[in-house]
Amino acid sequence: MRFAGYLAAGYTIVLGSLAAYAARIVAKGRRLARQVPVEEQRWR
Amino acid sequence: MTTLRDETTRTGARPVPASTGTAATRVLGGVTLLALGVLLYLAFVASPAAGPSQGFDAVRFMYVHVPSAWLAYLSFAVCALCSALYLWRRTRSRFWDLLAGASAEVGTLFIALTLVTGSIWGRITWGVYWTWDARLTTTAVLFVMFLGYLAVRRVALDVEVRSRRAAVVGIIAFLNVPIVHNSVQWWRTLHQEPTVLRTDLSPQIEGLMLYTLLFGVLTFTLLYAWLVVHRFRVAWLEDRLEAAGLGRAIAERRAEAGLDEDPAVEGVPAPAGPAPDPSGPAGRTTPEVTAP
Amino acid sequence: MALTGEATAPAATATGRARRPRLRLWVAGVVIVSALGMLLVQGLGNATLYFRNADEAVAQRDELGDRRFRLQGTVVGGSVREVADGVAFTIEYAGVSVDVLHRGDPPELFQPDIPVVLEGSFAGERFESDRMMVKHTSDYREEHPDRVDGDYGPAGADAPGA
Repeated sequence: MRFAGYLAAGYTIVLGSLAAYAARIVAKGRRLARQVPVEEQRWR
Repeated sequence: MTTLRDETTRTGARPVPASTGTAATRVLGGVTLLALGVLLYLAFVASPAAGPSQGFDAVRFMYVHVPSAWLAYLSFAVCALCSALYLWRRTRSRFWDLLAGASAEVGTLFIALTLVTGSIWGRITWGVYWTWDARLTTTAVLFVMFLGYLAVRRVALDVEVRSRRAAVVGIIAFLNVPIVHNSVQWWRTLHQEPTVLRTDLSPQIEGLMLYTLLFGVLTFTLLYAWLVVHRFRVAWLEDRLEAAGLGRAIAERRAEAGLDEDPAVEGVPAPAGPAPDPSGPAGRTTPEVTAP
Repeated sequence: MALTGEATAPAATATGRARRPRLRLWVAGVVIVSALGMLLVQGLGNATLYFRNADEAVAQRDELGDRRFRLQGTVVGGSVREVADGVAFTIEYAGVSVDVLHRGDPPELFQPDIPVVLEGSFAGERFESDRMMVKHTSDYREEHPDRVDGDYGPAGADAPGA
């Protein structure tokens, strides 16, 4: 495959950023969900 | 924002695991991960390389570059729509404001990924990482505009004032989206003209390359849905804490000012550090102390 | 302006707490507006006339003088030859051709019969460039078109350069 290095770098940045962002909001959600009464969490 | 960090758990002993996930989002997340795997297979194994003038394997950048650009457009459209619903008195609610913010943040991530993948792809096919043609310039402006939108959302002001301002900025910033999309037809650009979303309705791409691209769009749509749902719920929690925190802010300020360890100030933990930053590690440790 | 004075007031006192957000708003606003302005000046000034086609450049030869601009045209097959510090070739657009001397390594995808955008200026009748960009088209065909049925796309459109 030509340009394998460029492709690997690009896809790593994309998947890595998405995973990092997802992990951040999940962690933040867990932390905040402990502080808010359940009856105010409309999805539960 | 600082009041959030100091907020205590009043429900610390609650046995239900606390998260923004539900059965539905877990299914959505699983399907999204599966789709990402299939997309990688299609992009790197199943789909062919393009011809020499398209840079052979460089075409494989298309399967993330184009979906992230389209989903950024969609995110900003959702943001503008929710902003309009917030500004309209009859539909005004925290829901629309928070959903607008969540969608814009995800869209800003997607447009950043569009710029990065496009830059690397450009290095291969054009020979340069960046050039100031109309498409690249308008996309950079779009990115900066939504950074500005997100900054407006973070300014500590009265919630109503902040939300109204953000809604206006969000709608104005969205107006740039059609300019970005049409830039390659209105002006001369190094960037190519549309391959799929053409006015003559005949996509200039064939077979597996087209299906891989469409599958990429589907995958990024699932990803967008999952991210926005979770980001919205985080925003909702922050909003509830902010609302609850307002009444207690004065007591907490007094606690910060010198009554740090006073047991009489019920539920206010000792500050983990000076002026905890929302994203800083010092802020993170505070709620952990009171976790069940 | 009253607002500016308030924003620049020392923020260390107890009342400063309330003013810091306003200062932050102004800083964020100034940064964003200046960034946008820079992008617009830098970008759209160039972007609206990103390149001149070879025929236009030749027609405007006298007024262009030795000014720097971008030139677009298709590399004429068989015209490419390596020279000491770069590559020399001819580009053509709408029947008008221009001889080009490009100093530096051409991009990897540089090849005959593809459109290129060159940054540089006229020196006599020849265009001397120091930055070359390959302009690829919007149609994607497989590297080995015989692997598929050929049912797709308009008739006669085959793999470019193949």
